Order: sequence, then C-alpha cells, then structure tokens
Amino acid sequence: MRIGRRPGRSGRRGAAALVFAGAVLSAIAAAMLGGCTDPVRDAEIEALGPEEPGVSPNPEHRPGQPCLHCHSQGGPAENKPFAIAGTVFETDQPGSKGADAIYVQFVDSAGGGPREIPQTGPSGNFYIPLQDWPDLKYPVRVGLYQDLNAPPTVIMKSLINREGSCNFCHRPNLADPTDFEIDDSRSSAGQIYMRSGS
Amino acid sequence: MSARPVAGSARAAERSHAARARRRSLVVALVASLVAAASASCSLRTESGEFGELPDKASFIDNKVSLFMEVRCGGLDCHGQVGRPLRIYGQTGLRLKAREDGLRDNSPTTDDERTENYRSVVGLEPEAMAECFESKGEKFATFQLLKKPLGVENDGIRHKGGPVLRPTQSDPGWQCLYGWVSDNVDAAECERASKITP
Repeated sequence: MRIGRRPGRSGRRGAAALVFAGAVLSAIAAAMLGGCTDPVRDAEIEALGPEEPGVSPNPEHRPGQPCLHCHSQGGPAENKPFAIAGTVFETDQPGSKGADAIYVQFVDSAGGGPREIPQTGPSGNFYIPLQDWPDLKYPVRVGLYQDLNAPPTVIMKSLINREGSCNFCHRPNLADPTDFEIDDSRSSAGQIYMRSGS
Repeated sequence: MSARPVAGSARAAERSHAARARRRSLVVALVASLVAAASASCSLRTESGEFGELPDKASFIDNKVSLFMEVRCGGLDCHGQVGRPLRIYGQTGLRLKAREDGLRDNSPTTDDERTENYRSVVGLEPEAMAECFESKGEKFATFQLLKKPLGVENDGIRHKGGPVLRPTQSDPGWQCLYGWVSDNVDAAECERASKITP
C-alpha cells in the first residue's frame, strides 16, 4: 500500500527553493542581529580615534573624552560600566595638565551619592563604577574639592540631567579651533578646570 | 471591400481614445484643483494664525518663564541640544552664537536667545497651547508642554528625562509653567523654580 507520493521534479525544485530562501533569510537575520549596535555611538567612538601610541586602556587613558561612550551597556568596554566619569584640568587653558587628587562629590535628586567619593588621577580622570552607584537618580549636582573638610573649590552651576560622561558637554578647550569647531563650541560648556589662567 | 470597415473602426477607436483623453484631463484638473484648494486653505489657516490666542513673548521673558526653562530644561544633555525638540538656549546651556575664539561664552542669556526659546515653546503644539490658554488652563489633556515634564509617574506622558515637575501647589516649576499657559503666571514662582540649591 502506498501512503505517500514521492515528490515530482517540480515539487523537489519547490522544496529546494524554500530551503534556499530560508537560508538566505537566516543569513540576513544573523547579519542584522550581529550588527545591531547604535550607529550614532559607533560613529562617535570611531571619531575619537585610537589610543595614544604605547598606551593601553587604563584609568588614565583618553583624558577629555566621553568615557561612557565605551564604558556602558553596548559599548566596547561594557565589562567595566561607569555611572559617571570625566576629567578635571588644572586650568581653562588649551593643553592644560590634568588636575590630580581632586575629590569630585556628587549628590543626586534623592540626596544620595556613590559609595566612595571619586578622586582624580594624574591625568585628571575620575570615574564611578556603576556597581558603586546603582540607584543614581538624576538630576545630579557636583562640586570639586581639594580638601573634603574645606568648602568646594568649584561648584557646577547647572544640573546634570541624564548624561554620565562629563566630557560629553565639557569638551576640552582648543588652541586653534577650525570654523566647524568654533560653531560646535556652542554645544560645549568647555573643559572642567580648577582655576582660570595659565 | 475589406478596407472600409477597418478605416471605420479606426475612426471609432480614435474618437473613443479622444473621449478617454478628455475624461482623463477632466479628472486630473479636478484632482489638481482639489489639492490646490486644500493646500491654499492649509496655508491660509497657518498664516492667519487661526490656531488661536497664544501667551505673548513679553510675559514669557518678563515673568522669568524663559529663565526657569533655561535652568531646568535647557541643560546641554537635555533640551540644550541642537538635535532635540523644544530646543532651549541659555547662559549655562546651548548658545545661539559661538565666541570667535571657540571658547565657552559664559555671558548672560541674550534677548535673541530668549526669543528663540519663546518660539520653541509656542511652536511645539500651538493649537494645544491656544486651547489651554483660552480655557485658562482647563484644557490640556494631551498638551505635551505640560504633560511631558510630569512623566508617567505624575499622570503625564513619557518623558525621556523622567518626571521633572509635580502638578502641585508646592512645585514652583509647575506653578510657573502651568501659570503661564493658563494666563495666570507668577514671576516669583518662576524665579524660585530657577534657583538651584545645593
């Protein structure tokens, strides 16, 4: 007794076409999922350029750059995510040295702060690991202290509303900006610094 | 003998083709005039300001509504960004013009910037604003300027920056913004709302 029928040549061709179409669709889906990142952020990271020659990623690398571009979910350094991070310079002059050993004290809208008050390193960089401030509630206020028992040297005049990379808004001051950079400076609060002048 | 019917049917076909062409022209003309009428009425409505009465620029500036929005909404990481809706300019945020040397312009907010802020605010949803203003604040069920800053948490609509105002007597920010769009603004509330305390 025959319970089925071998497919004819056209049936076999149809099945083969289905398998081929399925394979193509799977390949497209896999390619899309593999490349499913934020293209804007990818472009911004690419624009930051490579590490300085001879420098490998460390707490003092890339001063002045927006840290959370990489150090957050979906970024190339997402294994070390930050809550907030940035760079403090000694002065407002282009090319100024980083300000070392400055305490950066934050208070959020719930009156909370990170488990430890971060302190800048030799490059001026500071960072708060995400696990040290998992319940951060924006907006946030911040002050810079040379001595935690003395009044702050600098208090940020405005609120931090949602951006964890301080250098996203506080871009380093440039000695010889191009026309594009001059126009772009409208969107920057300038570098974070401890005192004016050289 | 056989040529005659062919010539006759050709003439009939020509007549029928001409009739079809006339009908097509008529339809095209009709559609074009409808589109023209519709677009003319749209532009007339906008140009003649038929969306209703709006709160004026002087009350926005003199009663410090602009100042409140500069401080609370216009951070460089929020509405002080060129690419974001409801763009707000201000002394501590986005500047309308850059300094020639590309350094940060820390001078006070200019009249031009406050005018641009007014345009941003009234241009967000002019019809909804007029409805709210003319009803003395009774009608604002979907008005984004009032609903967004409440966030879903305070019976508003989703706001990427979270809930930033509460619809209460004790929130000077709400009193300032709601007061302005309901023709009952109190400059003192706006001034209180624009102060950031440590």
